[in-house]
Amino acid sequence: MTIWDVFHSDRLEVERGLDSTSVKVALARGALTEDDLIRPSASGQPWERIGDRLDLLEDAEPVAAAPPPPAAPAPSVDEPHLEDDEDELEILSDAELETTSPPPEEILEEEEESDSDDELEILEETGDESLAAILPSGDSIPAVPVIGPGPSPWEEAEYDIFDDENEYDPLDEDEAAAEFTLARGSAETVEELDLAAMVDVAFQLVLFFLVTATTVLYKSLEVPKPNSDAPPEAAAQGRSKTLDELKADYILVEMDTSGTVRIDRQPFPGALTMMNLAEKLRTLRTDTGRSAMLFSADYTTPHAKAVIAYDAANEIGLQIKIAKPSGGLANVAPPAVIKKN
Amino acid sequence: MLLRRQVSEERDEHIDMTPMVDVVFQLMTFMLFSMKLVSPENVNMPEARHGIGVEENAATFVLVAPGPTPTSKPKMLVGLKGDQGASMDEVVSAVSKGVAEGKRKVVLQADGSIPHGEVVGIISEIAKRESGVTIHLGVREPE
Repeated sequence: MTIWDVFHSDRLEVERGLDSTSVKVALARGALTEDDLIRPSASGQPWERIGDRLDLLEDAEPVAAAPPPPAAPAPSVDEPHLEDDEDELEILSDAELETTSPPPEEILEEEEESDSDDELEILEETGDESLAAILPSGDSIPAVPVIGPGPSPWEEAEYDIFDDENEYDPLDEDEAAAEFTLARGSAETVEELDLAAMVDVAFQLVLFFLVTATTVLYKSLEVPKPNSDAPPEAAAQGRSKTLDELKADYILVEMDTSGTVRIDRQPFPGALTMMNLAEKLRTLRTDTGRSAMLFSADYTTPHAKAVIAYDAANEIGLQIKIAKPSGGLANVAPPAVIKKN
Repeated sequence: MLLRRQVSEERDEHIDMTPMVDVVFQLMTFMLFSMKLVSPENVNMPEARHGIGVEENAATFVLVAPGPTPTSKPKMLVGLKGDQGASMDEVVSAVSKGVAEGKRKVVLQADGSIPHGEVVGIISEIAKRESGVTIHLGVREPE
């Protein structure tokens, strides 16, 4: 008789040392499926699907597909000791009918009625340990002799089942029993697409692009530029106006390299801050009625200090005129006036 | 009988990425709002309380950075991301190109330490060679 190694595809486990009869029984009971793999033990041959081995399926399929026959009597405890293959096959046919047909409730009733001690004797005599490992714990143990190596972890569980004092309860099964499964591939679960996550991401992207699409505003001060179309009056007269002459029309603000300010040729007493300068310009505008500021600064005056003067003029709404930068406050040469449009 | 698949089905090993994605986007939005635009050159524009906002796509930006030495000429860059110095001709050419695209504003983002005469000189040159533009001085909000 051929000894087989069986690979359980669902558990990814290899079980060695099963004979053909055991394989057929396991197939009939559902412990093995056609998708499981099989090969002769220690042969090194490639694995084959059990479903492709028609010789193994011939006997197994009709039993697995057949409706459950009425409950058969428990195997006789007076069965003779098994010594050859023919006897094994005879006992197997009885065992198949017994173990595959009746529903679990009937089996339990039968187990309670039968003598558990005798059942255990048969199990020990036949050495059917590997088969016991295949069979579910809730079923009775057929008296099928199978050559199998090593003790089975199911042995103790089987004893518990046949214990008269403890009724069979699936919840009482130990952890090893829980790991054993006869379940075929469960129906494919339809995984729902979680639209909430996608909507979240979509809205966040919309927000992101909305924010980035809005143009960034850069703060700036508009300043006058030279107007070539309207030359200064002084230029039209062939000469430049002096600052003293311009002082009549503009609030004259002069600034040197260090930021020292003179307003209308008078030193500005306070610190150079936008608010101080704006307050002074406001007073002058109120007193004299002039509505424009003429800013004349040294060429090397820092740009930041000039911006303070522009900002102060904007604070009180003065027009801004920028004189061409001079070499310094000591330079008396009148600067050309840059007019604002 | 306890079946393995029945037991394993109770465990949900799926990791929900939604909260993480939400947090990431919230952080991104927060940083976007809180970030300050930094020019490629170290330009410290002067502070000003008043001013108007100019859109990036509505103006030609000219960056005026200090030269390598205090006495050297300032370095001009065209655009907010310019990384190479530009001559006055290149600046005016960029302004002219901007005018052709409808950008009639020129924002001069000059460092506060740039001499006032240099800034006025650039303004005068741009206004002389490209009329029809308004000149703005880039400033920043007071701290």
